[in-house]
Amino acid sequence: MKCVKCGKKAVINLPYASKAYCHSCFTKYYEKRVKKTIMKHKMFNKKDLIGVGVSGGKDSIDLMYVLHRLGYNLVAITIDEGIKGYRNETIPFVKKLCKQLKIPLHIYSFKKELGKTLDEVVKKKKRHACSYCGVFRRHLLNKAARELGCDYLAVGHNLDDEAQTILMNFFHSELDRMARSGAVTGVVKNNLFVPRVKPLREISEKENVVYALLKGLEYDDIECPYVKDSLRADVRKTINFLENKHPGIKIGLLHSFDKMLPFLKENFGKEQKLKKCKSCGEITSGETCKVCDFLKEVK
Amino acid sequence: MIEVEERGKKRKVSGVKDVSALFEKLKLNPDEYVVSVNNKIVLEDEKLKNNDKVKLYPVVSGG
Repeated sequence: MKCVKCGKKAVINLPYASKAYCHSCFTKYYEKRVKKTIMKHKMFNKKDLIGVGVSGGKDSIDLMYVLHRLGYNLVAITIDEGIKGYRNETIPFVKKLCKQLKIPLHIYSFKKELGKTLDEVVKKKKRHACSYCGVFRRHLLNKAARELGCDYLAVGHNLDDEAQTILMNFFHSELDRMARSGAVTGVVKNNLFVPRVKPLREISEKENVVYALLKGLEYDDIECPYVKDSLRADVRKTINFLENKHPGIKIGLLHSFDKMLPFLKENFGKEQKLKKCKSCGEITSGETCKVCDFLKEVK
Repeated sequence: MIEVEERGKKRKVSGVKDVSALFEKLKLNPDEYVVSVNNKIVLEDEKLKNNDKVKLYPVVSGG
């Protein structure tokens, strides 16, 4: 198969876009699309300080690299959940790239900030590990971005993550949560909350792997040991099966969701009055926040 | 016979003429892997020959 731009041998085929690209044309196409996503959703500009959530996996490594190439002002934030044999393997890749690009790195750990590693939480678990981890990780990323004075928090969510999340929210009838999601998260503005942005949301996992390999970026491709039994893992398998048979369903799902989002924002989540958690002072819609509720649960 | 490596584990596979046939033989979804042959990223239509070194990069990672 040949590159649609220059006719050289293609390294990636994008059936959903009816395009194939060679090494050089793909990396340009990739960077152009990230820039286009940032502009389309008016995410941020070059005066803003962007906190980049970097785990050491391909998506966040690509995100930090491409935002740096595009000339944005960055600070890297890594959350160490305390998952033995997983996070300790991925953090060295973050440190290496931050050093290479001269981007300051700040590591926030579950153990130091919340008193328990995820491995310790899971021993007493009443829910799936991903439920605890998602809440704790979002909380710490927001806290770190706020403490570091960031205007936005950029996360490496890709097209696959977005498609999975949309379906999972539908399955659980989480319309309030859907209203808060999208390219720039949040419905109600609050100075305790740093808006989260997703510059890679229109780029598939596969494109991220190819970009990382072509750019020689080192990342860890270990799968989190806790993800296997999750609903997300099943949804991912199903969507990938469908995408292989019917190319374009992932991007179609995302675009449909984007068209619905103004309606969702208008009708859901607006009445939610944000208060300060009685226990920790973070923002919440209830009396206490989910982080404190979950920590109490696994005490 | 070709050598196939995935996440550091190697195995020998025979009787596959191209990458597409390799995916079929290993029952893998092509949407979930990037493939290199002899250190060059290739597509599913890439022909395979004896002693080729194939590396499979799973696209699914993280949590």
